[in-house]
Amino acid sequence: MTELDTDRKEVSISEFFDKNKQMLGFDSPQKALFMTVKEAVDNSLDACADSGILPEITVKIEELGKEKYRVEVTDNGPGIERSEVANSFGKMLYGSRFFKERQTRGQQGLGISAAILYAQKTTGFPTEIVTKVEREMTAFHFVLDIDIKKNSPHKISEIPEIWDTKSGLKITLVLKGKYVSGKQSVEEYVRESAIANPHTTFHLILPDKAIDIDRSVNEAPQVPIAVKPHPHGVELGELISIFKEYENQTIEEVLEDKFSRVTKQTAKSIVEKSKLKDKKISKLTRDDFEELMRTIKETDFMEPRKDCLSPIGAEPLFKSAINSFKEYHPAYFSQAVVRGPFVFSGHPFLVEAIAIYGGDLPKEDPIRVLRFANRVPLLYQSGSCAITRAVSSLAWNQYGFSQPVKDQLPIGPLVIAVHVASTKIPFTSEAKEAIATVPEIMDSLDLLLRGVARQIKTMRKKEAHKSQVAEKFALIEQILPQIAAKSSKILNLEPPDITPIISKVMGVVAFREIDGELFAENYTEKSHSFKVVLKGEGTFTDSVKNLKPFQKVKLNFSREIVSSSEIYVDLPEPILLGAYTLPKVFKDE
Amino acid sequence: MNEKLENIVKRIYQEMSAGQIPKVELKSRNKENILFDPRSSVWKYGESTVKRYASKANSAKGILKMLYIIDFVDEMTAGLKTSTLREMYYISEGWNLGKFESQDESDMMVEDLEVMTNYLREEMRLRPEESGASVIGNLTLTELNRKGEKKKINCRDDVGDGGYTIPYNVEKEKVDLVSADVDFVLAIETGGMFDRLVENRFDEKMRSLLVHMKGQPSRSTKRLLNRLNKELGLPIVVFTDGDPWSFRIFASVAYGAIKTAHISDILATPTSEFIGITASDILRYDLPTDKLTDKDIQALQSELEDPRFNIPFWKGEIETMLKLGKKAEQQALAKYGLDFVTDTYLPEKLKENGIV
Repeated sequence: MTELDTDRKEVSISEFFDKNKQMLGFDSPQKALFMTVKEAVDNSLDACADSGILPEITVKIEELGKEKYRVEVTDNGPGIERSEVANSFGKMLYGSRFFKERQTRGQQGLGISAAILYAQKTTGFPTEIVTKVEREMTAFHFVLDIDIKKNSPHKISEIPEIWDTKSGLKITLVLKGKYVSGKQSVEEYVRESAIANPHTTFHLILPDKAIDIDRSVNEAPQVPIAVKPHPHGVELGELISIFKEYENQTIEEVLEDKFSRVTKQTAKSIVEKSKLKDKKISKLTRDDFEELMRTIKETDFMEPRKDCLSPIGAEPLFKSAINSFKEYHPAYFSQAVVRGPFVFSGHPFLVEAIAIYGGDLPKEDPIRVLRFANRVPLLYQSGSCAITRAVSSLAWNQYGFSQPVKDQLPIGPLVIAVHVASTKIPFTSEAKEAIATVPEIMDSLDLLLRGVARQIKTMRKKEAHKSQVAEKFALIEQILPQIAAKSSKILNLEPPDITPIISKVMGVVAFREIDGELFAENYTEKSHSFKVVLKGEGTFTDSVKNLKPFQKVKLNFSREIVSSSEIYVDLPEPILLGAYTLPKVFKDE
Repeated sequence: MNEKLENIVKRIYQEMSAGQIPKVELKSRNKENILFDPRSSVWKYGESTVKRYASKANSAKGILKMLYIIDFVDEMTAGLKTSTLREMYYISEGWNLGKFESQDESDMMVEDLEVMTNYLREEMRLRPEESGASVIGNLTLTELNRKGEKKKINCRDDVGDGGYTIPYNVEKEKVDLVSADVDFVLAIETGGMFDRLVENRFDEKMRSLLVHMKGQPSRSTKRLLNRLNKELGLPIVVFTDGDPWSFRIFASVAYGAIKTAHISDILATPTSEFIGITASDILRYDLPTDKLTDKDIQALQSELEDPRFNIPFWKGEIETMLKLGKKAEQQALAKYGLDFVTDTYLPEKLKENGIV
């Protein structure tokens, strides 16, 4: 960022844009359309998050001509003050939040201005912005473009307008684009955004369809707290900028005040070690800063604050996964798992994931991995992303999935959604399309994914048991009685008693879930006493004394335990249905 | 109620009353148990049998489905109705757990019942979808029509140019063969050729009975050919296209098919003669041809392994066709004019085969 900052003075903004098209994500018409929507939606979500508003966002795309589209994004956010509009939208690099670290979607103020500039360059259309803040009676309708020579916003008009809303913002751009559906499309972006932002309602009006996605939770997430940077988390350029901003203070003071976890004592010892005592900040050379940086790296600090992160949260993630995938009728959703916060290079981060299995999800394709960084879906550069790598590096055959090529995605009807939240996401490039494989992040992802994969494995095994049990009970409760009824009806005779046949057909002690409760039923000819062990997140035990033939008993486990555990019983395998024989190792526990 | 069907139900009921797991028993319909009997020259079942016990959900469902079919057949018999196999498949929607997953499943189960009882599905009032083939020639028969009257029909004088339509059930109680004043039966594969022979009045000129098989002949067509041969002593002559698939049509008329091995005796006519188009005909008459496709070649090669073709005549023809790499349609004979087939080709071939 700092490099761009200094470059800015030497090259015209237009040249800069052309040179960095790819980095900014505007290198093809298809991607440009996607990026424009993404930047606008991310801005809306951030604005709502800041003011604790439950977002309702409408994205409308109209085709105006060949490769020419109008994009309109409307939100119910706080709006922008009239005096700020031009700068917020028209000036590259405006609004970057220096010296404070915080989990935000965009970490630079470049995005939407890039979209405005791109629109202007490809179609000549200025951008229209309608904004209403709560304390004003009317909204204001701005038309603006960017003065490329001066790199400054140019307001073409500003007129009041009636907009019947408490507050909000609408931005309209006309640009050269290419509308696609499917992978890496606007639709995919919005659908995935809905998963990572369960508190948001989306309306999507596309050239070929309209989609409404209702929010799945009604509480806005906690606003992430801004914290001072941790000394281990700053780069040299950033360090220099911070010190330059406070030139009339001492080095010690800046270290102590502008960074987190630096005590007076530590600040003093850093200055001494760097041999910078009594030196004025304005006199510091580049070598001095490098020395200071080295000392900081060698110094131990308390870990950064971790309470500044805002996870999607297990329950909201679970709800939004159901909301987004219910049309596939999945066989099951794993519990959402949140792990962390952890720390890498002075930055706190956390990871969370959920898995969706079965139903109409494709069985023959590689599993689908949904990647999120600070609630923003990542749709490009999947192969080089830490999340994809971590998923691929799991030994999936241990979890019952075929993985034809090692370190590649396994095959099966599975979707895994993974979110990494941090005050600083380590992206592989400025394009922010993939998360770098930082060892700390890889380790935490590995742990997280194992947990999720284990859940899927348990559920699949349970499912196999369940269908076995269901089949047997269908046989004795429905099919055999129907055979008895039908044959006697044809012959005009009384239906035979089929009880002896049932015990012959079954010959087992069956374990069956009825409305979430676990029951044991004895279909053998003898009485049995046995121990029942449920293993899932923990181990739970119950025992049954003297269960007589054709007797049924409810076991003493809560529904949650029953639904998430495998069942083990100390009876031999041939007379068990719906449970595993308890291995010796457990028996002694 | 039909006795053999009733016996199946009785056995199931008695087993249940005795506290035993009910079962059905039938000849194994496994490929290994279907053998080509060289003496009678037809496919037949071997001796091995299978028992399907109601101790597994799937086979129990099978038994339940069978009971539903038996009950359904009984109902139809009482109401003098018939149903297509497809109709029965749809009717099974209302049979609870006895509902069929696919028509293949219900068709298969009807065949199971045939294997178990030796009743034909036609006798169980179940018929296939396809419409019957046609017959033209001096054959007199009676057919029991839907009014319950025995109607006498001469298949030359009482029918139009479309001919007499073979009903799905040609068993004696439905169709009675009275007399025929012809020397042989010519079973023809394609409609185009059948119509050509009708127009050229080949039935009168060569004292023949023309039967249109409509491609692979249905069970009732094969059954009628079998009865014409057995009861009226008429030789059956098969006239098809010259390609591997048509060879199979002949084989199924003559020797039966694996699927119907349990009723080969009444469907197959082992004395049938194949008259053409042969591979040698292609050379001899210099017929217009098409190239053999990869599938054709595979089919010919597997026919070399098929016991039904294990005679020098067929081995020679199949090898010739493979060598030529060519096949020809019946209608390719039109190269020499519309009358060539009736004036030259068929008389020559029939004479050589000793039929006339």
